Parts: sequence; structure tokens; C-alpha cells
Amino acid sequence: MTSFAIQTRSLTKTYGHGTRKVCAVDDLSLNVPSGSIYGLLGRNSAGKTTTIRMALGLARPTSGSLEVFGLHPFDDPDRVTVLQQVGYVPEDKGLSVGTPRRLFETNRAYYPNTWSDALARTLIERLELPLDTPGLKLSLGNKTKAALICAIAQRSPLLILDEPTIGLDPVVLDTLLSILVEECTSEGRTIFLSSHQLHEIERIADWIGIMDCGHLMLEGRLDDIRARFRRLTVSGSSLPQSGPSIVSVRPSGRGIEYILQQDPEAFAADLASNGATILDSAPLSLNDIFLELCRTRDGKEVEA
Amino acid sequence: MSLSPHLFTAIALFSPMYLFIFIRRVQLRRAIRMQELQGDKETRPFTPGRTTSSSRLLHRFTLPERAYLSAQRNLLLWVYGVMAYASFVVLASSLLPGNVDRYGLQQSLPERVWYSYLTAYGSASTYLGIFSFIAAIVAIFGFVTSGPAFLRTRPVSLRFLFWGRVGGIYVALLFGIATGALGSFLTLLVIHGPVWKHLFDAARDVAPNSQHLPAAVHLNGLPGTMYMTVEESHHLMLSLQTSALRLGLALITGSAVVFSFIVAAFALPPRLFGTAALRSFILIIAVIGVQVAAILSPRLARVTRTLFLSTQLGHPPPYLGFVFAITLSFMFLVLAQQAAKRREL
Amino acid sequence: MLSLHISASSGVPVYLQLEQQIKHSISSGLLQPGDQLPSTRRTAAELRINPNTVARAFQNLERDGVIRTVPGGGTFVGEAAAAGQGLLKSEKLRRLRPLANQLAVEAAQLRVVREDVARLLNEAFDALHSSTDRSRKPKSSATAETDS
Repeated sequence: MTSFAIQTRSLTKTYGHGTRKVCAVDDLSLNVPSGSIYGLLGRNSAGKTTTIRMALGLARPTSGSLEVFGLHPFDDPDRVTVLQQVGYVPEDKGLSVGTPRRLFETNRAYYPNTWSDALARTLIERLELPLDTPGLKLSLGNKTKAALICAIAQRSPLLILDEPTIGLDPVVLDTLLSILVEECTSEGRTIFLSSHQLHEIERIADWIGIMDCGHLMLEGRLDDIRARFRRLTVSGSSLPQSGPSIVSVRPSGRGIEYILQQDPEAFAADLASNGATILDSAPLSLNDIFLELCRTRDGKEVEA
Repeated sequence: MSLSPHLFTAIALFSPMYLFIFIRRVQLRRAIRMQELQGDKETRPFTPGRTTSSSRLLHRFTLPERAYLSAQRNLLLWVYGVMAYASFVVLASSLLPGNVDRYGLQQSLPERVWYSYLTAYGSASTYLGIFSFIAAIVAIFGFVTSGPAFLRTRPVSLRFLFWGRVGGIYVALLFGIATGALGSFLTLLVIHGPVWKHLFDAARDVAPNSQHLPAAVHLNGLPGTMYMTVEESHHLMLSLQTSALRLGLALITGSAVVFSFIVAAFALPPRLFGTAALRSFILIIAVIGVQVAAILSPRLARVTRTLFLSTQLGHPPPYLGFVFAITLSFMFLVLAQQAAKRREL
Repeated sequence: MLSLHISASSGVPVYLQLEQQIKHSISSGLLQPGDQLPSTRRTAAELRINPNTVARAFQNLERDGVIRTVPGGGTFVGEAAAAGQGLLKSEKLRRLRPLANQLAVEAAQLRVVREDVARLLNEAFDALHSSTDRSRKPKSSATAETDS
């Protein structure tokens, strides 16, 4: 029985009322297994940040439930227990105190059991963060680095990162990935991150969830998802235009290009046995999968 | 005195603020310039000292709670300092020659000084009301704005977050006022001595010249006859009746009520009884309205004095009213805490 | 010692890429029996990939007898004889069949005859064996690299 670091059931969050109601999160059922690296993907305003803020007790669900380590993070005293075990990098990377040095000195007192000064020093050096520059004068990348070090040096069982790659140049981004993999996955720790950098997520995540307009479109192990999705180019007559495993269909050269989301071998075999010719079968990168799912959803909304 | 006393007071009150902002900006610019010049010189590595303070008083709090309190420490000291300075300046400025001489030169010096001092509490309550308003916004600000929400995501209970900050500022505010008022009183003692004991020293036996049309006033139990105008007798009566202690307490409660009301006004959710700005506006209107009404109706004036919400001169009411006013402000704070607890960012 | 390239978006699962490359390194002699592999965590950190993926690859390789883990810690390349010990020849052939099918399809597409394909295979085996012989000389240290 896997335990879940974060688990939501039919989570819904609406803002506003009457005609100006906005549904930020709609019937979301997310499952983040403990010890995994979970990537939450989605376009802007998909509801990722809202979900994360609810996990930290900054917002209350309208309906449904959200549990972090089996506890509700909005009401004390469970809230305090949850926050003791969570390291958080918010979307807004502003520094609330003067310099990064002050920030770390302030933060370390809140986590006396797990904070590691040595780790902080290592991270400061590897990420090349200027310790004494006033927050107002820090670049966005440096603010992000400060927020990351602040959260990672806590060595919390759960690390929640909301857009942790903002402003980071490729070298620092690479170092960050190495740090996340090396420091943050020992002892069964969980990393939950939301990002637009699909390329980076594809490398280090083992679970992913794709959100759009507050809904969860897809969730699962990254390996499984990559195995399930396939781009099939087929030529033949009377080819099916829709089906349970077809995401999209479009003409391509001499034939038709299918994007499939499950059992691609069975589908291909089925077509082949009906006389169609499989011209090409290629895997999809996470970026392609994401684009296809969003496009299809947009298309359906346009039709509806 | 070439400079009007009011202007002098205003400058004395607000100039340190501008001076401070200016100095900070210069310091910041210098720090940045130094950093730019030094470039990538070796920065001190991150080696912080011990986090735990050895204060026995704080041992009942968890380490994160202590960290939160020490984060508030500077702000609380600032609030205390500013309120003490402001109340001292406004009250002590009543001792300036310009102010003392405002109420007629016929009265004796002790009378004039005492009267000037007592009436200064009235203007002090306005100035301190403004400062309390600002302090309230500073106190509640982090609880109702979204943003990085750093403190809100540390492992400290919401109740402690509120009381540690708002409660701390509240106490610092009131103690600051008390300190400043006490300081001004001591200054009065040092400069003029116990003036309230010498209010009859200038009892005049000789009729003054007829231009002033004095009336003969006999006061029971006092020797001789004093000649003074109706206005002067009125002043004297008020000076005799009013207790400086009561005015000081009224100053404190007035600021306490303003502070706690504004905190509650901003903490309550936006849709309930209008927005925060609207509620603040209502308070200002109410305060002005009550002042105006108290001038017009003596009965209302007496009610506000009894409740310790007014610094008008007059007969001291039972000191129980102080408890009422403080309890009222405390209730506002509790209301604010309940609202802030549920508030989403 | 180890030179690994992982492409996260190539479509081939990362753990498979790892397995293939480690097997290749062993076949070509870059890795000798008894050489120590970096730990799961170390490998994952250097490649910037998930440690579970590396763990999975290592588990598969160990199941096939290609590598073995010592209880005290450390992962080592298995003895040449041990590789594939648990597998029947039929199983081994079953594993190679998809590759053979793919080769056949590609050759058919390009209209290359069977004999030429067989010659290609022989040349590949020869190249592998000659590089094995060459690599039994002193090893050069290499770093794990990635590209995507």
C-alpha cells in the first residue's frame, strides 16, 4: 500500500461569485506517491499554483479534499505538523528580508531538527549565489536560487517547488537538476514540482500529472505514459476516424497520422490485419504529448 | 516665537521619519556601490551562530515560535520608540512659550502652563490616532495580502502568528504612549515644578483696570476675592477639575481603540460590511462626528469622557471606564484574529 | 571509466538506454569484469535523471547477471561467464528477435539483399572483438555525459 505525500480527491476551488465566478481547480484527483519525483505540468492559469497553495494551507478548498501526509493543511494544529515537513519555493520569488544571508539565518531557526548549514554552504557555492546583495538588487535568477537554497537546505520530507526554474541560465539549471536528484531523493523524500520546462521534467520525474483549466488530463508513471503514446502513420482505405485510443487524426502525405494514447501495438495490429499499411511508428516526447493533449482539449472546447 | 508652535510640533514629529528614510537610502546606495567596486571578492561564508537565545522568558515557546518573535523584535522596538517620541513631542510642545502664552497673559504662569499642558492631550490624541492607524495597517498587512507569504508558510500556528505580531505591536504602542506621556509630565515637573498646586497663587486682591470688565468671583473655602473674566474662571475650573492621569489614560485608550478597529477593519473579509477602506472611512467619520457632537452637547461629552474615549477637559469619571475601553479594543483584536485565521491568501 | 549518453526524449525508455550502454561498454571492453560502477545515486546525479530509473536499469542488469551488487555496498561488473547464466538459449534468441526484425524491415525498405546484411553483421562482430582486444590495455578515465 503506497503512501501518498499529497493526495486530492475531487478537489475544487472557485473564486468570486455570481456571474464572475472563476473555477481555478475542478474535480482534481491527484496522487503523489511518497519517495517520487512528481512533475505537475500545465499551461498558465491551469490551476497548478492554486493547487500548490492549497497544499500549503494558504487557500481552502471549496469542495473535495486535499491531504498532505494524510493531514489537512488548512487548520491548525495539523497545519503546523504539515509545514514542519514541507520545503516550499513559491511562484513569487520576492525576498521578504534584506539579503540572502539574512533569509537563511532567519529560516534555519524554524527547522531546528532538519536544517543543515553544511548543505546550505554547498548549495550556495554550487549555485553561485551572492550572499550579501540586498534583495532589491538581486536578479530574478538569484532570487530563485535563494528561494531554492532556503527550501532545499531544510531537508524536508516533501519539497514543493512552484516554477523553480524561473530566471535560471542553462548551467545553473543543470546544476539544480543534479542537486535535486542527489540531495532531495534520499531517505524517501518526495519532490513535487510544477514547471513549464518539460525537457527538464522529462529527465528527472518519475510521475507526471498534466493539468488544463483546472482538470487533470493525465496522470501516471512517466515510463508508462511514454510507452502508451505513439504516433502512427498509416495508409489504407476506410481507416477509423475516432476511437477510445485515438487522441487525434490528421492527414499526412499519402496516409493518415494517428496520435494514440493507449495500446498502440494492439491498434496497429488491428489496422494491419484489416489490410492497412503501417508506414511509420514513432514515440512522442513529453513536449509532444503535452501539446497534443492541450490541442485536442482546445479543439473540443471550440466545437462545444 | 517666530515659528508657530503647531508648525514646530508638526516638524518635530515628522522630520525624523524623512531623515531616517534619507539615511537608509544613502546607506543602501553606499552598500551597493561598495559591492559593485569589490565585485567578486571573497564573501564571508555562511556560518551563522547559535540560534537559541538563553532567555528564560522565552523557553515556553517552541523554537520556530521564538524565531518568529525575534523576527518581530525590531518592529516592536520601532513602534515603541516612535509612539513614545510622538507623544512626548506633542505633549511637551505644550510647554513651549508660544503655546503657554496662547491663553491670555493675565493668568498666572502655573495656570497657563497647566492649561496648555492639559489641552495638549486633545491634539495629541489626533496625532497619535493617525500613528495608530498606520501602525494597525503595518500590523495586519502581512495577513491579508498575497505574495511570497514567507511567514505564513513556516511551522507556526496561525494564532501565534497573529498575536505575536499584532498583539506585540498593540502592547508596544500603548506602552510607548505611556512612556512618552510620562516623559512629558516629568519634563513639566523639571521645568515648572508641580504647577497644579499653585493655580491660585495669582489671586488678585486689587481690582484690575476696567477695560477687562472683570467679575468678582468668590470661591468657597478660599481666602480673598479673585477677579477674573468669565473665560478665565472657566479655564480655572477646568484646570482644577481635570486629572492629567485620566487624560493620559484616555489617550492610551483612544489609540488602542483606533488601532484595534483598523486591524479588524482590514482583517474581515472584503464582502462583509464593505471593504476595508470603507470601514476605515466610517471610523474616521465616526470619530470626527463624536468630537463635533461632544462640543455641541455637554451630555454626549460627558458620556465620551466616562468611556475614556475623549480627552476633553472635565471632571474625572470613575476609572472603570478605562477597563471598558480597553476591553472593547481587545474584543476588536479577537474578532480580527478569528477573521485572519480564516483568511485565504 | 564509464561514458554514458542519455537522451530523454528519444522515445527509448531511459532505463533501456542505460542497460544497453552498460552492456555495450562491457562488450567493447571499456568495462572489465570486476570493475566497480558508481552508485545509483551518483550515476543519477551525474546524468541528471531520476534515481529510480537508474535503480531499475541496475536491477534488470543484475537479474541478467551482467552486474552484481555486494551486500556491503558497491556494484560491480559480473564475470563474463556469469552474464546471461540464468537464461536459456531460447530466451536469449527471443530477446534478439525484435532487433533482427527491425534490421530486416530496414533492409527491405532500402532494398538491401540478405547477403549484404549478413556481411554487415560479420563486420560488426569483428569490430567489437577487435576493440575488446584493444581495450584490454590501460583504461582512460571518462565522465558520464548526457545529451538530449
